[in-house]
Amino acid sequence: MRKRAWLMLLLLIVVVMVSACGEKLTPTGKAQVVRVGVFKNVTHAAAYIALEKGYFVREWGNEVKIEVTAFDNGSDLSIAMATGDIDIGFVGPGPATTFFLKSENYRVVSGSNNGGAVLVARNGTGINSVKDLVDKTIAIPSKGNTNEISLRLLLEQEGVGLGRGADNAHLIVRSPSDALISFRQKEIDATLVPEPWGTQIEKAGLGKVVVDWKAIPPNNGNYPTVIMVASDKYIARHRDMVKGAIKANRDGIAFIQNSPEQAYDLINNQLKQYSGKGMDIDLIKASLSRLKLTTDVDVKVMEEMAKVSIDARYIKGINKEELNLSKFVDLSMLEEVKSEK
Amino acid sequence: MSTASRRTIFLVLLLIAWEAGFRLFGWGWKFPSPTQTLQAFYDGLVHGELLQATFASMARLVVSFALSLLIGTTLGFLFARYRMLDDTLGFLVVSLQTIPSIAWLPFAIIWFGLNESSVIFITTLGATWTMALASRTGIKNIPPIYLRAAQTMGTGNGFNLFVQVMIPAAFPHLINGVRTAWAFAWRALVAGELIAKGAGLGQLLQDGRNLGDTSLMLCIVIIIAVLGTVSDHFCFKKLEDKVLERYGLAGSKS
Repeated sequence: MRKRAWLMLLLLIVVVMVSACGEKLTPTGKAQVVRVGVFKNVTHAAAYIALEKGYFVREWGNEVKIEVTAFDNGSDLSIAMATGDIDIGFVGPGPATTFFLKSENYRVVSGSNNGGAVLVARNGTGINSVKDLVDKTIAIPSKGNTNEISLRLLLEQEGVGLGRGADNAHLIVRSPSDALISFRQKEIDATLVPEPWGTQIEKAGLGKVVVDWKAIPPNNGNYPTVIMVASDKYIARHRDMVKGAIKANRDGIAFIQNSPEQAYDLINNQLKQYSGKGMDIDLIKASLSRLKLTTDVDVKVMEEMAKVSIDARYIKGINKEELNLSKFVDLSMLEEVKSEK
Repeated sequence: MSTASRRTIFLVLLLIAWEAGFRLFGWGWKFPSPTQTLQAFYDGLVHGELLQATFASMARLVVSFALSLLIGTTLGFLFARYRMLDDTLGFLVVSLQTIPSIAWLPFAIIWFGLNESSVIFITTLGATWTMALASRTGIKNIPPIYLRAAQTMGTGNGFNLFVQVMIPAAFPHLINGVRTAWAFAWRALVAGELIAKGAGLGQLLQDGRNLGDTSLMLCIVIIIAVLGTVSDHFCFKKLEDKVLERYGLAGSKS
């Protein structure tokens, strides 16, 4: 009896090990499956267009299967990147950096968009500027995400502290959709959220934008909010396919810039697919007017953001002065794509 | 070998195996080493977030637990006393008990909002049904002769009988119910805090997940285990021993 149990265990281990290694390839040597991670949010418009217009298929060919997973927040997507469940992801630099410093198994290969976040205050709270946030409760989508970093920088700029006391601003975690409910229930006074939530709160008549996207730090709104990351394994084995993805992203951006009216519907199609329901076209339009689509990635700005995370003790065990993200950002493929034009 | 030394040796071996596993298999950030966990404990205590979260969770737990004991015992008494209630509401409680209390969280969020009340609500719910069923069994199993004797001595049929005779007589069952209810309350609490927001261990666990801070996550798991064991050992176990002694059952351990 005992012998049999041991044998079963051994068999199980062998099966797991065999199934874990060995990647399936297409006859042309490409990966059979590419696992792509995106958010359920308009800020990921470029990825949506690339998927909807078939730019990935165009680059990779029909025999490659694209598996898209839609995430609710950057932490979950970064966990998936760090554990190797996603090959190519569109994610915010905040959580991407935090998890990279732990797992070191993926790289930033391209930008997708900058900015797109606004600070909204609830009507009736009397908040007209950042200084009015003292003793007010501000929501952020999740701990350590890009918006929290912006908020911390914004408060620091205006000399407002963060903490529990009455002379500080208070921080609370609420996903953007919950923030809308919390505005109704008067639980929170303000929130720094990516679009379209700012526009949506305004449209619902619950609040107004206090700090527009072009004034959100760092770099006055010109900081990366969605970047494209690819796993190391993938870059090593399928460099061309990663370059294909960079092209698809670039062309997605170009499409939105050249024919925005057509883009809105296409973006909506993808949103419907991932979040179950579509969005008002006006809302998509308003959101896209509050961000800057670009393939560029400013490493300096990303380092500045990571330092805020270190100060907040979200990234531990790394000295602020020694921080160097050059290992994290690999723009060589992007440069190659650019020079091919 | 005494139990204490056996446990100590086991724990030391576990620590060694843990450290060895970490070094041999290179778990990296996925599972922290003992030293990393210790460091996280130290950090959390110095910056106060661990203590703060523990107190917040305990406060919530105590409130919900007291509520569920009160409601549960009363319900159990009513079920045992009134056949009509037992057949109707009692039947419902049995089926309610099978529902994990976290299943009520989406409702709780709509009813009370994403705050303290929601978590207290589901924690209370998690412990109440168990307590109700335990006290029902306890009271039902009281030998009728006790009750008749008490009534002859003039306790009447109401509150006095309940407090003076029924509760003490049902104590062994009640204690069992209390212990189970405590464990159920913990589960519901942590699950609730993971999803609903507010300071607490569950919330801190969630933050750890969002930041990939596995050592913080493990710290919280350890805190929960220690709190559970300590409270069981020093409160309920002591109480149970006392009760057993009073009922003349303590000798039967041998």
